[in-house]
This record gives sequence, structure tokens and C-alpha cells, in this order.
Amino acid sequence: MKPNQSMYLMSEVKLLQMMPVWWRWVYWADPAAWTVYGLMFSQLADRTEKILVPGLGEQTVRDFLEGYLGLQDRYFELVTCLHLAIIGLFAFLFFLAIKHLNFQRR
Amino acid sequence: MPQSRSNTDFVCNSKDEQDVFNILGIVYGSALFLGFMNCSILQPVVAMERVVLYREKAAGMYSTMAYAIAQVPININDQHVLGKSSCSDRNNRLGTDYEPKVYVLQVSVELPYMLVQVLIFSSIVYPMIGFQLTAGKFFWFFLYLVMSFMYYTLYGMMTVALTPNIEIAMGLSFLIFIFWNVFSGFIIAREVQHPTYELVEKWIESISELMKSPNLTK
Repeated sequence: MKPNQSMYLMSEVKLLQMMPVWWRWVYWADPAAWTVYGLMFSQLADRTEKILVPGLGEQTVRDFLEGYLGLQDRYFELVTCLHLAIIGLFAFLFFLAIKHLNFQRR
Repeated sequence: MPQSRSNTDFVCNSKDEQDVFNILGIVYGSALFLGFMNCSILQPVVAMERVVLYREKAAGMYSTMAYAIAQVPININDQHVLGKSSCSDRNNRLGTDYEPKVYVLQVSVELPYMLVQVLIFSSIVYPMIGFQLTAGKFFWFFLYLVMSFMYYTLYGMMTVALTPNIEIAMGLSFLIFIFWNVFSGFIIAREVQHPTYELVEKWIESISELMKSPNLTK
């Protein structure tokens, strides 16, 4: 492991900890984040190979996903349901808007 | 070959965390880029469709489909008073029988397009990334891409329906996309929440270090 690599990671970790806690909810208000969550978790969560993480030594892929990227087991179903919910919400808003709003110009 | 490991090596034989970040990058790209493109290409089409709708509506071809969803109870009630309905009422009711099809059509006309697009994309990209070729995992990949396309498409349609013209719709959707992009978990890594006291401790510590530092006194 190169020393500058680990320093980079550590500084990144430090920067992330500086991010105010009250911004965390934005991850849960973001459909794109759900998709990334779902794709990453469904593909890599069952991998138990060891990978080398600078600063932390050897870790399994699953532990790395959980610890560094915050992709946890217990939210996977929730994320899938949220997708369906937002599809329903957007469709409903579309129908509602096209019915009640009239932007016709003559 | 200059590279010591190929792409297919990656998931089967992970070496370090960079490999996971590569996958994260691919996932980020496929979850956002195609959706953005699909949404912004679709918006002018939907805007045109709305103009056509206004015209047809004025001509009495059909009225809005939201009746099908929002006014189901009202239509059921109307059935009971069929006897004393006026001529215009009857026309309206006649119309509502055909109305639902129009908007369901507008949404469902996107479906085959979306499915074919995702099928082509995922059948090329999935083996290229080197993900495991199992039916279950491919199904998850395909499902998530379809769902992501679906909400992007519906989001584009919704913004068009909510705003008076296409320029405002595009501006609104791009503004929201910036937030979706930044907080998607790739640019700023999503990580497990640290307890607040840890943060406070860190801040206090850094301030005290700053106070003690000779730079401040000199």
C-alpha cells in the first residue's frame, strides 16, 4: 500500500465527518441514491472475499459495503418498495396535474 | 497486456477497495446517465402530446383521464342517476368510457420502449462489468434499471404536466437532478452515521488544538 493512498482516504473520511448530520436525510430523499443502493447491494452483498482497505487492513466486501458505503441489509426491502412508491407517486401527480392544471393559451 | 487484471477478474477476485469503487462508478453511471437522457429526450414529446390533448379535449373527443383514477366513485354514482341525465351528461359519460385509455396509453406507450432499452443496455453491460452470470442477480440488475427508468420517465412527464411550458419543465427537472446527482452516494460517499457526540468532540478538540497552536500567538 502506498502511503499517499492511505492519507487520501483518511482525509476523505475526515471531510465526511465534517458534513453536518442534518444533511443525511437527503440520501433518503433521493431516488437515484436508492437505485445505486439497490444495484450495489443486490450485486455485491453476498461476496465474502477479502479486500485490502487502506487504513483498515483486510475486510470482506460485505463489511466494506456496510461500513464505508453504508449499504446495510435491513434497508434493502425498503429501498425496493420506495422505488415502487415513487413510481406510483409520480404517475399520480402526472394524472392529477394534467387533469386540474390548464396551461392552454389561445 | 500491461494490465495485471481484467474487468472480469474484478468481482470474482477482488483485490482492494478500488475495485468496489469501480463497480460503484459503473452503477452510478448506469443508474443516472441513461435516466437523465431518457427524461430530457422525452419532455418535448410529452409537451407536444399535451397540446394535442388540449385540442382534442376542446373538440370533445375525450376529457381527462384522471377521471379514471380520481373520479371512480363519481362515475359509479352517475350510473345510479342514469335515468335523469341530460344530453350533455350522456355525452360526457360516453366520453369517460374512452378517456382512461388515452392516458394509460401515454404512460404505457413508454413501457415497451423502456423495457427494450434496458434489455439491450443490461445484456451488453452486465457481462462486460463482470458481474456473476446468474439468473437471480441479472434479474435484480434488470429490475432496478427498469424501475429507475420508470421513475425518471414519469418524473419527466410530471414536470411537463406541472409547468406551463417546456423551458420551465426542463429547468425544474435539471435543478432537481443536480441534487439527485450529488447525493446519489457516489460523489459524497454514503456512510454509516456517526453519533453526534463524536462530532462535537472532534470540533471541540480541533478548536482547542487551534488555541494551543503557536501560529495563533505569534
